Amino acid sequence: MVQAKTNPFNITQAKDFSDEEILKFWVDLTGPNGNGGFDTIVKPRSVVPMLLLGGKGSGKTHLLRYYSFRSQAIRSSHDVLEGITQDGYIGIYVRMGGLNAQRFSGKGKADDYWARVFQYYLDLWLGQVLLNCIEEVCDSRPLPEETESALCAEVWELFTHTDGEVPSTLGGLCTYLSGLQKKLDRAVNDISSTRNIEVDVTANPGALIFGIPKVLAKWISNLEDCVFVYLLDELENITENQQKYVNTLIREKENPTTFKVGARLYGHRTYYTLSADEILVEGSEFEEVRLDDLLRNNEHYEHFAMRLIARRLIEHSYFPPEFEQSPELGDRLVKSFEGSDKEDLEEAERDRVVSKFAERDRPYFARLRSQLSDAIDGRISPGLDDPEHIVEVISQLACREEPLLEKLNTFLFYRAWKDGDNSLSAAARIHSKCSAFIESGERVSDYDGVLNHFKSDLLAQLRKDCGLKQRYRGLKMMISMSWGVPRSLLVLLKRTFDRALFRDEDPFKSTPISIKSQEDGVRRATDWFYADAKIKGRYGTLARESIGRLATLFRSIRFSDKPSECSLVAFSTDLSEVTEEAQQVIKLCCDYSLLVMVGERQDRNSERIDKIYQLNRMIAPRWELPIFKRGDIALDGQAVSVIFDHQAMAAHGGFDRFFDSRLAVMMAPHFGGRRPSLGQPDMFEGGGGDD
Amino acid sequence: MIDYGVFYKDPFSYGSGWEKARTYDLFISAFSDAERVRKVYEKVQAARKLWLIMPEFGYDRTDFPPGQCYANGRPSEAEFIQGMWEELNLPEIPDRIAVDITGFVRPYLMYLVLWLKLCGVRKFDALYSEPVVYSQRGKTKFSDELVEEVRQVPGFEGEHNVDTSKDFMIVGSGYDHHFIAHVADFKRSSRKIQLFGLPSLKADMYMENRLRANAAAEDIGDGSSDQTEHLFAPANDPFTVASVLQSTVKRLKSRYGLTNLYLSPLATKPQALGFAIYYIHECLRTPTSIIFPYCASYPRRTANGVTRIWRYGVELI
Repeated sequence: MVQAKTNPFNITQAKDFSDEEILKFWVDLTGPNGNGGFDTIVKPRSVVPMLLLGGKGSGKTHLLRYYSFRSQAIRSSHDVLEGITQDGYIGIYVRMGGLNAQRFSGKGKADDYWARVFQYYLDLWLGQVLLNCIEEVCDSRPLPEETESALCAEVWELFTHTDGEVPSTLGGLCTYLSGLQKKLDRAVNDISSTRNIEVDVTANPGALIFGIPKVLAKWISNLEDCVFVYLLDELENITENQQKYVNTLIREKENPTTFKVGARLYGHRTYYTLSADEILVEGSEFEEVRLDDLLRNNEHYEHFAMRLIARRLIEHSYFPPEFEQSPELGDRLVKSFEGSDKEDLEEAERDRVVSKFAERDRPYFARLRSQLSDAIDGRISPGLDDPEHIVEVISQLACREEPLLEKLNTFLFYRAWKDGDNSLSAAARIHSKCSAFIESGERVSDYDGVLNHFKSDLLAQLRKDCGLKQRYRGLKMMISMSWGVPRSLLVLLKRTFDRALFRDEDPFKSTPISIKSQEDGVRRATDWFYADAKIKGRYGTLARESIGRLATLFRSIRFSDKPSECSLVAFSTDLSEVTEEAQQVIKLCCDYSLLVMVGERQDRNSERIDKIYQLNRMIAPRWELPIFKRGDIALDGQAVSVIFDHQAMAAHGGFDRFFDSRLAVMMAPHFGGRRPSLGQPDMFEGGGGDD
Repeated sequence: MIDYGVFYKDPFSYGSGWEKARTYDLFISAFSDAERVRKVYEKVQAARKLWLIMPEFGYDRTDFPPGQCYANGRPSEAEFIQGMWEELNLPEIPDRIAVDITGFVRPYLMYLVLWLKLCGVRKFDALYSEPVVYSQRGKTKFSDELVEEVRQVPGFEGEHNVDTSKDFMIVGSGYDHHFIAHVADFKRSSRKIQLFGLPSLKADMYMENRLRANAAAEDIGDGSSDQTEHLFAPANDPFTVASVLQSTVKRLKSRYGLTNLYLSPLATKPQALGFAIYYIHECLRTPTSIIFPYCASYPRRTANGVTRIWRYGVELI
């Protein structure tokens, strides 16, 4: 019987991992020399609270679960208490989604009432989780009866009033807290039907959260110097008002307790606390880590990604365990994917272009021919006044066996044409440089530099013109596409692996993954990423439409006759000049990782600081855009508003109408005729420099 | 353990004179532009009939049909149903109640069933009419697709455990794959099981359903064979839905030790009714919730014509 192959990249979310798998698939962010690591980022033994923000799939949950008690218990299964002592902390992991906190609102009750109920509920919840952890610890290292009894009695004192007799065991204490929580659940749930709520709040805010750790540290000697770390994951699942309570806990925390709070970028809604108008201050009261930014800009990310992949393959028996530390790891994995990482026209592509257009004009020459013909009729091409001149120009630009150089020649010609040069002279000059470049292979002034600069776009145009697919393939390209988000990489590999299996390939074994499988996988992963940005409400539609318009603008420039910027996939702007609606939409696009803010730049002529936004690499292929940015385009407030604010767009007669004249400057034969009036120089000239 | 198989369900063709078989003291229907909803309302024989005008359909007073109508602003579905019941001002609980579930927004439907139980209603007839054709066939939209929030349905909020390590969610997967993705993401730590309508209402709808649900595959999670488990129950049979839920939950408890359970009926109204029936009979006061992706609005009409009427005898034991 043929055994179905399991895709080693099937699981893409940490929530699907068991506790054991959290450890099994853990890869630290260390360099080849073992430096760095997540310990230096998360700092589990530090009492300084931390806000860990990141987009979906950036690894927050895996990180927090790695530092949780469950993982500690597995790592130190021989003696959990000793393990905690050695670690110096105990990680109390809680998913905030488990509280189902949306129900603490409305139902005819005021906000401040629900705030009090929620505070009490959270205290009971965290108290239970902590005591459950300690109870488990004491299963293997039982406390003396009198110690346990005294401990319970002190916890009992944390309540303002109690019901029944004080429990003498941790189990009894857990049961008591659970009972209080369920009672509160019942009261809150019944209000829909009875409209009455009787909630008896039996502890002051924070009393249990801070008090129980102090009691435990006092009575259990191994925990005396231990930091109690509440690892609160999924903060986005509680409301803004509820988050204020968490912020208040962070501000007013008491040793030995601290908090590491995980939230999606869009999910952290406020820095305000319950004290009127006071906000949490980063630096002095908490640290903030933006995980996807951190990974994106980390020099070890590629190495980390390779080891992540290796770990999956090792666990699925593709490679032996020592493979992960092998110096050939990277090479071996890269070679598992067909094709070169190098950006160039492949031989098969070149042959296809040559043979397909053996008997006719290549599309870019056909277009140029038509444009030059119009130019002659309109007398707008210096030096051209006879159809024979068109033949001469094309002949000078042609380089049959090197279609990429033909594209370059055509681009240079358009540039010269726009600058008003004599067309025949320009064509001859270009021909000369091309010949010199081919003959010597050395640097040719104004020729190979342009080729290097615009190569990505010229290749894209050539492929589009000749009916070839855009190339998105190679492992390093996929790692780059993931851009600091491990889940994106896993989805890319998962989809690619599936396609390879469908084609009866033997990935990571006897055959490299074909280019076709890679391209299919990338396309599917791109579609998934785009659809996965589930922005609620009407802004979801607005954000998606805005991204579509922005990408269309980039695409139009990329495939124009004379693109103003190379590898264009980013724009810069002064947000203060943009409408509020557009600012809101841009922020949402960033919160949901459709856009990434990649930097700031001071305007050359003023003190103004422009922010630079790039389309997420994962969705760039959707519009045949480059993965890597070189320059960016400077857009004024009006242009940005037209893209991101549908009302501004309507006020300007629509997106196409607003940008058509501006794009026309890049299109032959007219190149816009005259410069557009925007109150500033042509917005498509002189954008940002390379990065 | 309740045997939902003994609950009555009877199909009638539209022109068969089905309405003559029973008369009711009270008939409640949710008003929409759907022809089948209006036709059933006209044909049903009841001493008192009531249209519910749900705010999500965006009707104003000039659109209201003839007959007694109940409308409210935009409170929660619980307040809407309670307000409706108060306005009925019934001197005593009617013996014979019928509810046409066809036009309801699902959370309202579920809360109504719970409310009837809380008011002491022991049984009622639920009517559901099947259309001739869906207005855009496989591309029919059943909502405006703008999810405003995902939350528990009032009255169906459980008493949950702090241990979330073995949480499960059973999703009644419908056509709106973005709904599936939203609820799956809302409870992303839970393991998902999908319940599909098979047999489906129309012959080709099952395949369409599977294809659309596949768009949410990444959110559902397919990391292991357990997580690719699918359940099936007829799309027009709430009692089989309830039975399937019952047997599945029993199996999950014995096999995994279920910590918390989330249910989300995103497909047909009979399916939603089945989820509500199961919950009311077996999940009150347990760590089980029904969650739902709430939209600001829904289309007033998704289908044309009426072929078959189902009558489900719901008993609220």
